[in-house]
Amino acid sequence: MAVRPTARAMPERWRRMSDALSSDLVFRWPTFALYAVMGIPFVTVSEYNRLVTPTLPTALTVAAVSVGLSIFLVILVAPLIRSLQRFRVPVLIFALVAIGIVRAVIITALIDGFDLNRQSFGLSRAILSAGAVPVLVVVAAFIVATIAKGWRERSRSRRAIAELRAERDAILADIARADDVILGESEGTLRPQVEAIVASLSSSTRTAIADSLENLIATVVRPLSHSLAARARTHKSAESIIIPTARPVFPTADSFVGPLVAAVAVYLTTVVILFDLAPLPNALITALAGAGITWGALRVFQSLMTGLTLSVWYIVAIVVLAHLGIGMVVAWVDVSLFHEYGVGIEITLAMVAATLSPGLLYVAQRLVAHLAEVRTVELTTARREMSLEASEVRRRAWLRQRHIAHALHSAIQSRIHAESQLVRSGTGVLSRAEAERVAATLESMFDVLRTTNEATPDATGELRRAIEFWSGMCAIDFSLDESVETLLARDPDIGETVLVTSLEIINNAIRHGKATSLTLSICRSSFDLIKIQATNNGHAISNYEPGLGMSMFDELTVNWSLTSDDVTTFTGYIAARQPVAAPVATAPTA
Amino acid sequence: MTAEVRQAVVVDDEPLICSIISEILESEGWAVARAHDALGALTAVKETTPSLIVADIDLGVGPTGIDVVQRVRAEFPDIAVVFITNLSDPRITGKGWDTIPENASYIVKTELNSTNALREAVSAALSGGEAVRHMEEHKPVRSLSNLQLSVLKLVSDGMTNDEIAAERGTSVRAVERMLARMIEAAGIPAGPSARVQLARLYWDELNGR
Repeated sequence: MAVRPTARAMPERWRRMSDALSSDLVFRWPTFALYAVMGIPFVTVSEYNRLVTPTLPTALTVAAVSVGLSIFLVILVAPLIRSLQRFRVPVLIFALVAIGIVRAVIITALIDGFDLNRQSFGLSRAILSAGAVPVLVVVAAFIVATIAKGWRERSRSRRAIAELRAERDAILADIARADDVILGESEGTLRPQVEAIVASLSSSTRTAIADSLENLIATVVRPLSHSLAARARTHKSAESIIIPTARPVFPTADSFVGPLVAAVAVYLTTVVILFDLAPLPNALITALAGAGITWGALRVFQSLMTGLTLSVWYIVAIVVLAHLGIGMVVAWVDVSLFHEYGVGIEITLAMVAATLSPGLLYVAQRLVAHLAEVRTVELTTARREMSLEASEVRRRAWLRQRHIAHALHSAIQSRIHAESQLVRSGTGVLSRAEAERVAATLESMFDVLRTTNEATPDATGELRRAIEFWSGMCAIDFSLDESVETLLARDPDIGETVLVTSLEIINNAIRHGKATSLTLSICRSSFDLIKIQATNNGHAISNYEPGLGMSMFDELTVNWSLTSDDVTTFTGYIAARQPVAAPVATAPTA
Repeated sequence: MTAEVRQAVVVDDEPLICSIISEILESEGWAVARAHDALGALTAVKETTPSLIVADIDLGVGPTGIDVVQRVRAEFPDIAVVFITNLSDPRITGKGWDTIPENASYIVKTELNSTNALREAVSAALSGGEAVRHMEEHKPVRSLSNLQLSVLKLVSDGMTNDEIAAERGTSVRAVERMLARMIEAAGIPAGPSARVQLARLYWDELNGR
């Protein structure tokens, strides 16, 4: 069911209105264009009734000149309004009222000069213009500001998506570069040296072989490690969207009916038409009666439509028919009351149009708003999706680099060192078995380097082992969501990420925070995010205390935070996009 | 009458290294239990109640060798400890020298020129004397403070002064001053390549290379 605007929603609407009027959009061409579109029909109807010989082209010309003059006057006062630091909105309203009066005086003088009107109508023109110009300019500025706001939001989303895409591409290029280095160095440089050492195993002395192995580390393994370690750090976007944005629900039928807007339109049209035909009290009372009938009838109609979910064409048809009917009732009332003043078919048409136009505009506005909302949500979802993808690429690069660094720094160096020590500690000529072992160790380096994405096979088991290890020093309450456990087993990349992140949290809490009790919870926060939350009783740790792996969290998570009060709480989100269906759209499309 | 067999635990995530160290110790008359990760080491210690533990600092994912020793020392405070690692300075992993447990020998693999070094380290650890740290004292990086070291790591990560200042929440000028002092302390000639040499220092000397 659609959520109706409540009384509490009004201040927000007024604030947006005030923001729109304070902005420079009031003086921009889209506002002027919209004002002209809305203003010309009203002025045309008004001037048509005043002409000596009523013709539509003449009325339209007068209306166009009149509206054009208003815009010109607004442009004239714009620098003054723009220069104001305070009271800008009231001064603007006052200026628009004054512009309406000035416009009426000038137009009256012009029309009188051409003898177009039955009489001068200066006063009525001044009153109507003073009321209409501010209302129409304010409405136009508000609509333009609303559209501009949506446009800005969508532009921001598009920019964010482009930045994230560039970040992802940069990381992918980085990975490709690292691959080239591994390939070039390992095959181009490492391979010949390894082959030379293997060839010398049967003929060289133990000292010479041991020296060659040490030399291999110094001249190839270390430089290779240096070049791979120099991967540029990525600068992840500060803002990340954690909660998936749901597709907006298509509005129910009742929200396509605007009784107040239709009533105001009927009121204004009645006043404009009757202002110069009937005595003012009669015109005002009749306008109020017409507006009342319109409002009441549409409220009843709205309550009948409450909660109905229909396709857009049914809604449009029903709303149009309802407005047509109500417009004809109002016109019949007006014609009946003012028959003696010669009011005829033109008021019927005007009243039907007055009731129908706002109805159609309201439907159009609701549809445009809904489509804009859908588009914004689509962009937000795309942006979120891209941020998750960038996070996945970023963490893959980090894990890969970590693996290579560990392989080069620990595994390979250690093995070669060990071989060097073994060879050096022996006596006599190298035996066949020793030579084969050295050759096998050297060959294994290539296997280690080629396997650049080696994830821990059993992340959950490894995590449980670490928790068991720490349990003597810190009571750890560990909970792992069943669906996450399945996911960790199925996707080694996610498993490794959750494992490394969780271990770092535990290690930090115990080593640095001296925690004696810790709660670690790993669950799904949405269909594509895993939430890791850890609370411990250790002392607070600064977010950027060096050496605590905080930059690791930047690389591994989509978003993380650390709060400290009585307890220290880490909350991190890890991208875990799986081929599961996204939330199903519940609305019919327009 | 037979001599009492002394019990040791060796923990290293590299099976080959673990095997070599174990064999050296066994040749010295030790009974050795081997482990490749922290929990395995803890279990071995509980099962064998050794008088010596030889631990690699970097055990891969999870608790480190230092964590293992701290955990073991909580239950067996008199156990002798020898760390054997590729790292010439534990601060590179974010740990200060003060995190190395007391009375522990600390041997860098690159400086193990012979198996005698391990025997000496074991003897030193067993004697309960002052910790043995086989790191060349003349190396300029030894004089760097932990703060300077963390900045040096950021330099070696390829970060600019602006980025380092932003990362550390300090001014660019402060970063520049700190780098100038470090370059001077390291004896690097001033010049356009001084920053590169400083970054190399991190990898060459601190990273056991």
